[in-house]
Amino acid sequence: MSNYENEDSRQKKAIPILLIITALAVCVAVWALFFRDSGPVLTPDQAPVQEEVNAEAIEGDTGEKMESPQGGGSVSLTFSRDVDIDLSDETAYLIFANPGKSNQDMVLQIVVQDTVIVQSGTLKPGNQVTELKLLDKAAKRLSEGVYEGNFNVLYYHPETGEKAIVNTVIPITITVNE
Amino acid sequence: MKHIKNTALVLVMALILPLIAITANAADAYGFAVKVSPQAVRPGGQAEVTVALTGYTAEAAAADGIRGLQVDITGIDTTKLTVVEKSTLIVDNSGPMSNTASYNASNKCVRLAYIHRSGSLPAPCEDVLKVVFQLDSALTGTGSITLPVTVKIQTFSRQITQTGEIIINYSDEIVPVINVDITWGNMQFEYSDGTWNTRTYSYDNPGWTDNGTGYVTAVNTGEAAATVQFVYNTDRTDISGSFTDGTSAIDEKVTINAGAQTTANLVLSGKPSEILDNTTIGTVTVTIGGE
Repeated sequence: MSNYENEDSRQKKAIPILLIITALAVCVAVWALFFRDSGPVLTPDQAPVQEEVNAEAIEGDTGEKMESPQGGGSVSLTFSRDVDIDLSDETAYLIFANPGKSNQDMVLQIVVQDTVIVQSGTLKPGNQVTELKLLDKAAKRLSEGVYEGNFNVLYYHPETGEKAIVNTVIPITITVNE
Repeated sequence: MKHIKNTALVLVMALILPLIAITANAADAYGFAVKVSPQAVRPGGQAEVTVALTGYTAEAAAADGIRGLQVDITGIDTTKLTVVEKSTLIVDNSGPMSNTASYNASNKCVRLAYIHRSGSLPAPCEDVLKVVFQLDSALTGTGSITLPVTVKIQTFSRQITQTGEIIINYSDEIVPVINVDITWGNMQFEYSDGTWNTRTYSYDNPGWTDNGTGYVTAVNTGEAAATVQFVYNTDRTDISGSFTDGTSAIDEKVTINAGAQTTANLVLSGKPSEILDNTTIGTVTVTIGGE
């Protein structure tokens, strides 16, 4: 067999291998783009610029502030420990307020089994939320039933946006409906 | 002469009659109002009742001040209601003979008694009595509890008695809402090696000081009891933290009843393994639970 024929035979064998490698690369790219778990949601060290779109002003709130120690903070929390989640509209229904007497902005997370399924935008003093959208793909992780979870409440300085040294965890009961 | 006498009489009457009318109108205008907060309570929750005077303005008081005031809330069924607090809201530093709120369980009555021997109730005055009731947790369904109220007012010229009622609504369908206020100091801690002891050739009393800034206070401003737990979080192995109430350690959940508060002081221990300058070495988590 001549050198030319050997080369031709080697090239013919390489083509299917290259095709398989290309197909695998395409599969990996599709998985990475559309099916890969995006990982845990990280807690912001600075308050989100975006204010919570579902925030509503608390009716009758005078906005009279609590005394706040120099360099410290003071917050007021109003909440219910019962949360309902509707998978059909991917929304959590809740009662959570940052009354006007607070001196800190808040970000509310709903955590189930160490996974953040809801993270609000900034909730300014004097505002409340009764519904929050689930994070992307959170609905796929849930099924109908009752879960024990937590509110994780993060506090941020209203002017600098710096996260406070104190945070609050509130055990809650989450009822998921389809 | 007769004409002059008649004119004088008319003038005198013209001066006196308006004064009599003002006096009568002032006293007639006195009344009372009742506020109940919240509008509906969950069984086991608390309702705050405030009784307020109406019409007792500075002008009315100048015409006919109140020397005595008695407010009776009666018919308190102890199987449904517990009196948690009763207090007079009248502020009178002029030395009234009595200005107290009391509860007599056998008479099922809360009474405010205000008596001034020589002067009168400072005006203007609105809120006079606050009573906090706790509803029995065994109540079920939706309903209301009605308590009769009698207010007796003694002015300089007359006595007025008015009656009314307090309605406390309850429902076990109300979603329980928790209200908690949290305040914290700026958590500035400083480590000192202590004082060099020339006899032992070692430092005495090394450790951390916070100059009174390392504390967290939680106040239960809601109607039901809540629990709080304080946890110090750090990744460091050289410094650890714990909480005390000033005398003993706070390791477990602390129950704070409605209106009560608790303060936890953070105590650090361990010598830092490096120089720290305005460095965050840990965080504090306040966990708020239910009853």
